[in-house]
Amino acid sequence: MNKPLMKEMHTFGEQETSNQSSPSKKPTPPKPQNAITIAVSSRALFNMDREQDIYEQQGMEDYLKYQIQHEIEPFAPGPAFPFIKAVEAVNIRLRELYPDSEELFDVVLMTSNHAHVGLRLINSINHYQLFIERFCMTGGNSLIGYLKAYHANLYLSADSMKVREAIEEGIAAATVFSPGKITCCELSETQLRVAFDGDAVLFSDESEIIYKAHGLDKFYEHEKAHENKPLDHGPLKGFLEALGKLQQKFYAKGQRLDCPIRTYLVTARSAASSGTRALKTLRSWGLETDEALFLAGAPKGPMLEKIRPHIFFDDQMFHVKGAAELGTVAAHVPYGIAQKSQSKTARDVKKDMPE
Amino acid sequence: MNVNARLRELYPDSEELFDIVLMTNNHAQVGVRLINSINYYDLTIERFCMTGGESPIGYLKAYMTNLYLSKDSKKVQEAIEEGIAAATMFPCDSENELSDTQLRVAFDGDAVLFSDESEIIVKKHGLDTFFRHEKEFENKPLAQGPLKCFLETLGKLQRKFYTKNQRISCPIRTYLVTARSAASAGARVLKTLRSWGLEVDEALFLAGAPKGPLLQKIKPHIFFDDQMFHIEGAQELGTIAAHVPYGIGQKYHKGKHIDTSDTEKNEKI
Repeated sequence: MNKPLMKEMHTFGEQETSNQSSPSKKPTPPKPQNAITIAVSSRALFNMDREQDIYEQQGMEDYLKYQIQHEIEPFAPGPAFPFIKAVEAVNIRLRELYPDSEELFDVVLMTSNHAHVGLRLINSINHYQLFIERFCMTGGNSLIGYLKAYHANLYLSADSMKVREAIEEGIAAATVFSPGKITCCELSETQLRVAFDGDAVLFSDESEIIYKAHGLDKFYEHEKAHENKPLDHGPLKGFLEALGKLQQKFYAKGQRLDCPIRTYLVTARSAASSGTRALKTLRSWGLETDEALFLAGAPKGPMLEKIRPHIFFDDQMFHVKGAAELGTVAAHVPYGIAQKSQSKTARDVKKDMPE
Repeated sequence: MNVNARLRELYPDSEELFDIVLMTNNHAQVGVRLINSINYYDLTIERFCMTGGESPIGYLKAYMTNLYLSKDSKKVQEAIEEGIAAATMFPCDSENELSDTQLRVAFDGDAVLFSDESEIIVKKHGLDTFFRHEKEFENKPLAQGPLKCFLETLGKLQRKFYTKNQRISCPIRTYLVTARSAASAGARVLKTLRSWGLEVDEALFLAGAPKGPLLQKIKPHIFFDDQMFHIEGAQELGTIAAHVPYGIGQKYHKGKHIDTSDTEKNEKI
């Protein structure tokens, strides 16, 4: 392609390779197909509890009015906020090492809020200096189409109904819950830590079905018998894979020890009796986690409190709540057999508030 | 037309409806075939102007046309220059399935709803200056673009449904699909719309991501953009796109400055 003699002009929105020296150069967002896209809802990113109450008790018009009146007040951080901040820190490191690569995280705000709330969201994002340039404000309509159009690798929302829809459409998604105590300030700002449950999160729920139908012993027998047969993959396997790909980029530059991404497997499985199949499955996928904790039924909360992940994915509300009580940002993955036997608490049932 | 049917249900005596006029410089001889086609599809197009070669601009004005659609880019250009909202239609090979109960219209932002003032800054000084400029002038509304009034008329009709409590099943839905970045340059756009008392149902800020895939999900009946690059991207994925030949974007294609002489199609519509 021959460039014109005069300075290259850019179409609005095309990739910027300006050779102007401007004081604060904002990086350009990567193309969706190259990036690891994380879609986050407004209520997952920010704390909108008060606004939610207004919506539920007084209706849409009052809710919108309130938002507009408080437009210049930034929202307080929500449960997914530390995760997003950590993701951006990883991007900064990636850009240092690979300035021309588009293999980065891309954060998209995916909300069914109306465009009227957009200004307050923009002001909040700028207040915290987050780098979220892509928005879809669907004014009440479904977001699923847009999630697919953006090739979303992960969708985080406070609305369990939307998350369920996404999972059914094959998109990795989880409902984020606020931790019981405030721990944002204690989380690492230099290393993104993501913890995963095993069955029905990274792996399919096939083994969990056996356990629920036939009990622990049958489950152990089955796992031993099928030790070498990899488990089927679960909804978040793709996301672990994406994290692994980025980790490799740091290893390739000799930065394994101070890789800004760290992954953890935190499973209720028993190591000797059923751990092998889990590990062999990961190996067969060419994936790894940095740390693997087999709890054999011990509560996950205290372990997670030590790990301090920015997010912990589990399919069972029992574990999600246990984690949240001890200050971990936990996200529920509504997949598999465990969903049928869970009792819904008031926290699970979220009204269809735009978020 | 479906919108008209809904409007007539709610407001039987109102004249605030869509009125479709066939505006062609075909000769009257072709009229019969046109009429037969219109009746075949059960369309309600009772007003015709067959100008037999002459310019339709005068008639557009006489009809106080809110929107003129044509395949002939020269006519569209003329109309825009006369201040009439107009766009050149580009059909696509394989269309997405469209709703037949809800009219969906998608608009680009700069140089379509808004003037091209900001786009000029991007082209002359680059993205960073553009971001700074937009932040500085966040509270100063952008000047209006050629299709602002059409959005306004759509909004007026939408409100007629809202007052009869039909917000959720409103048969008109509008979308803003802009290449702008939300945090860096989105505020001014939202504030401008608000200052005009207008709104869109959905707002998508793409920060440079391709518009095609998102439009494919929206499935609009028509998508207006000033840049052929985006029109082509939309077409490729099955969206009917209409080019608005306005503003500085016409002098550039895919970032490169092009010759100002247009390649024209002298088709009769």
